[in-house]
Amino acid sequence: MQTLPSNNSWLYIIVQAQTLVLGYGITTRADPAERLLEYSRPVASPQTFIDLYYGSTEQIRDLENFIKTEWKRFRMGIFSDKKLEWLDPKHNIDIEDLQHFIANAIVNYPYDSIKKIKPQFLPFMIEHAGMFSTIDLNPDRFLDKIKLDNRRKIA
Amino acid sequence: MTTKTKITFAKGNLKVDLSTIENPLSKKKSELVNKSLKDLSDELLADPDFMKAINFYKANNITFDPNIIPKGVMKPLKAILVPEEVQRLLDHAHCTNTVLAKFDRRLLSPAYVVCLMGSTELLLFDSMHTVTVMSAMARCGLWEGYDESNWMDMEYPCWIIETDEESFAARAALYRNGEGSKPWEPYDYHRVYVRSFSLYNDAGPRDKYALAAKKQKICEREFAIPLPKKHQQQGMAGTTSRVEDIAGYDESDLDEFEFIMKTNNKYWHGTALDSAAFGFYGNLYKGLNLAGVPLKGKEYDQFMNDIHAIIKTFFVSMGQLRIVTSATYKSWMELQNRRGGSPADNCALAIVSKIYKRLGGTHPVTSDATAYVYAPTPTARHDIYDSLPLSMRQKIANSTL
Repeated sequence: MQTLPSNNSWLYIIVQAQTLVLGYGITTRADPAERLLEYSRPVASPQTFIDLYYGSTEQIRDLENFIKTEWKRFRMGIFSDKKLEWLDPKHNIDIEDLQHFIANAIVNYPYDSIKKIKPQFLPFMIEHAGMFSTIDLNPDRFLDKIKLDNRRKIA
Repeated sequence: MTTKTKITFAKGNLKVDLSTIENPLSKKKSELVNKSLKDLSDELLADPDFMKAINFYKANNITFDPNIIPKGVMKPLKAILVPEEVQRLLDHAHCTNTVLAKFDRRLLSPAYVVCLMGSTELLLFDSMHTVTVMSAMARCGLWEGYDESNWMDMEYPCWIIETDEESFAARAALYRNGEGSKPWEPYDYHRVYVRSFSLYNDAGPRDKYALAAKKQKICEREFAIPLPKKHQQQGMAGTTSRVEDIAGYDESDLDEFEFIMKTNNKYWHGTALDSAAFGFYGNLYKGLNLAGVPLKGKEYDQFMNDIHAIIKTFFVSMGQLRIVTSATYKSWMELQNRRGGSPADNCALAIVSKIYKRLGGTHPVTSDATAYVYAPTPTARHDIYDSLPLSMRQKIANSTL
């Protein structure tokens, strides 16, 4: 199922099935199912991506870095100082907090190439492999422009 | 004919609430507490790794007798010897300029010595320069009651470590001079300079502390609060870790520093200050000033918007510009069969200026725009621009200002 890297990449939100810990990450592979498999195999438990964002690799990388540094204080640290891309549950950050934080960054940076996968294609599961194979040919079918709820406070 | 895409600078609207950043230097004197050892040891005892080490001793019934702690004792200078196998060469300039010329008895430290069991010799492993200056001062009659005839009887506080391990002086020297101590990071110096000025109005030698306080104010005003490396909010928008870069600016180039901070805040507000800003804006400021190009006005504003449109469109951020510049420089050097290393601090500006010219920009650019061209023969020429990733060059070719 190996695919070649494209000029676009994915940013995902994941809730680990066995612990319910919230996390995020990026993949430069065309099919996000490949990355999902890497989360699922070692724990023998199918995982799902709650949300998927799609855009130019440069912007996706920068957005991930923005989340990492801005929310460093919320990230889990299991071994010494190394911080993981999982958010420590003790901070009570939920999916909506993370979605809003990402939306705020995309709208206000702005990362103009990044859009969100439409709700009807989510959550994304391993059995959905290949679902986005035509995304570059038909982006409007799969992608929504990010909207920001300004009533919500950013963590 | 294909239509080129016009690029424009998309101004960001990310918000930064500086009140959420714990700026150690914003505290007033009345807010600074003198922590007790109970407070600090409480903090340590809550650290699981520290407690693992404590529990190892406890599990093995290991305890220590307080009487074995080395003692501070007054000893005559003649008892002290400086072992060549441990000590470095005497630094005369350090003795003259740092210890003697600004002599302050309050800054003296004890002589750290090892006393091997059964011996009366005190083997010095730290404070060599201090003790040597003290001896020279006594010989010259600068210490009352002492001169060339009796200086060796003058007593000096020694921190004496008794041991039967002959090689211990060497180990102790390593421990005292770095391997066992936690060196100060640039922020620690900055913190003390700023507080010396802001709390006690002490401008410091050659106004060093006053200058640090001025720079701190500029940083705070421009949403780039310096934080120590391990501060939990390090990397957040409105902060910077680049204290070593900030420390490099003197009073004479404070205008350049102010330009860098101001411009960075104008174009990248809502993100952390990236190290690339210093080289990029610093060289831009110097280069345009050198050419007498005004740093204000409609044309200048358009030029600045254009070069930031280039960074945001093709590189996304200053951090990514830095990363792509390093990789591009490495590729360009490899073409010349030379090792890459780190590019000079004008390389990112050179690349962006080259792109600006290619996109038809007409505002004067700095001379960096013509740098980084490898021309081994009159006909062979390789510009660093051609080492940028192909996808980026294609995107640039399809764009216009």
